[in-house]
Amino acid sequence: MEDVDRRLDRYISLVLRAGMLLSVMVMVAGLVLFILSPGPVESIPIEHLPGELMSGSPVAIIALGILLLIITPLARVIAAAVVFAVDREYLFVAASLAVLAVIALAIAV
Amino acid sequence: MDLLITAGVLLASALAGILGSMFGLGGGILIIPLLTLGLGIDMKDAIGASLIGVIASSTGAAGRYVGEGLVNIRLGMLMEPATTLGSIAGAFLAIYLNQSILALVFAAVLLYSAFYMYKRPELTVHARREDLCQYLDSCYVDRRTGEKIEYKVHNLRRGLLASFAAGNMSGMLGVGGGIVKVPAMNVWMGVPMKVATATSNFMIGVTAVAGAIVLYVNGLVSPVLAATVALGVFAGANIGPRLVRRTAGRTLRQYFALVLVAISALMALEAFGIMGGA
Repeated sequence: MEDVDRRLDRYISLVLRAGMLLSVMVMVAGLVLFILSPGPVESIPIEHLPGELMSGSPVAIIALGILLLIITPLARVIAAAVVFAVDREYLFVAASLAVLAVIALAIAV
Repeated sequence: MDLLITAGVLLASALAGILGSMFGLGGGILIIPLLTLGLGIDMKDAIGASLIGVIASSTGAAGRYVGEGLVNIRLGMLMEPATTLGSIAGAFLAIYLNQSILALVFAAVLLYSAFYMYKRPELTVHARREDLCQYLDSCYVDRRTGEKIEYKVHNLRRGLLASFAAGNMSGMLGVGGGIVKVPAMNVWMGVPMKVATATSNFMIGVTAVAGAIVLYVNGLVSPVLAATVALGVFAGANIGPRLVRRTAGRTLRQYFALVLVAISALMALEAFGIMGGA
C-alpha cells in the first residue's frame, strides 16, 4: 500500500512546486517591467486588478503573482481533499474541508 | 525602494527563508524585525510582506519536503483546522488579556521546551510493521544515512490541543505557531524531528492564508516589497531543506532548542517593553 502514500506526496508536491514556479515567473516578469518603467508602488484594490492587468501595469502583474502565491496553499488543500476522496479516506476529506471552512470563517470575521 | 534597500530586503528574506524552512517556523519572526529595525521599513508594510513571506517559505520548503517524503500530510491535515481555529480565537482573546504577561508566560513555556529538547533524547516509538507507512503512522528515508525510519504518532488529542494553543498564541502575540507545533509533535507525539519541522512547514502556509487574504483585499500588501520578500524567501526556502538533508535529526533538535531560547529571550524583552515588534 506504500504506493498510495507516494501518490499523495507526488500530487501535493506537484501543486506546491507548480504554484511556486508560476508565482515566481509572474512576480519576476512584473518586477522587471517595473524596473524598466518605474511608476507608483501603491497596492491596487482587488476590483481594479483585472483592468490594470489589461493595461499592462507592472504593479498589477506583481500583485497577480502575489495572488497566485496566496492561492497555492488553498490549491494544495483542495488537491489533498480530492486524493483522499478518491481513496475513500473520509476522515481526511472532512479535515481538508474543515480547513477551507475555517479559512472562510476567518476571512468573514 | 533604492537598490541598496532592495538588496538588503532580498538578503534578509533569504536568511529568514533558510532558517524558517529548516526549523518549520515560517520566518515571520525574523522578517519583521529585519525589515523594520534593520532596514527602516514601515511596520504596516512589513507585516503584509512578512505574511506573504511566510506563505513563500512554506510553499517553497514544503514542495521539497513533501517530494522527499518527510511530511506527514495526514497529521498536518488533522492539525491545520485546530491551529486556524485557535488563531481566530486568539485574535479575539488578545483584546481582553494583558499582552506582556502573556508574552512572559509564553517565553517560559518555550524555555522549558528548549531545555527538554536539548537534554532529553528523542522518544520515537518505532512502528513495528513495514506496511504501517501508509496512514498516520508513517515512515521516511533519512537522506543523510539512507536509513528507513518508521514511527508511530501517539497522543493525537494532546497534539490537536497543542495546535489549538499554538494558533491561539500566534493570534494573540503575532508569533508563528510553528514554534509550539514542532515541540508538540516531537516531544508529545513521538514524531521524529525532521518530520516535525517538515510537517510544520507544510502547515504554516495554510495558517497564513486567511490573514494574507484579508490584508491583500484591503490593499495592505505593498506589491513591490512583498514580491521582493517572496523571491528572497523562495531562494532561502530552497536552500534550507538541502541543509537539513545533511544534518542529523539529533543535531537539528539541539539547534531548534537554541532557536527556542533566542525567541523566548526576544519575547521577554518585548514584554518588558525594551524592544517592540518581534
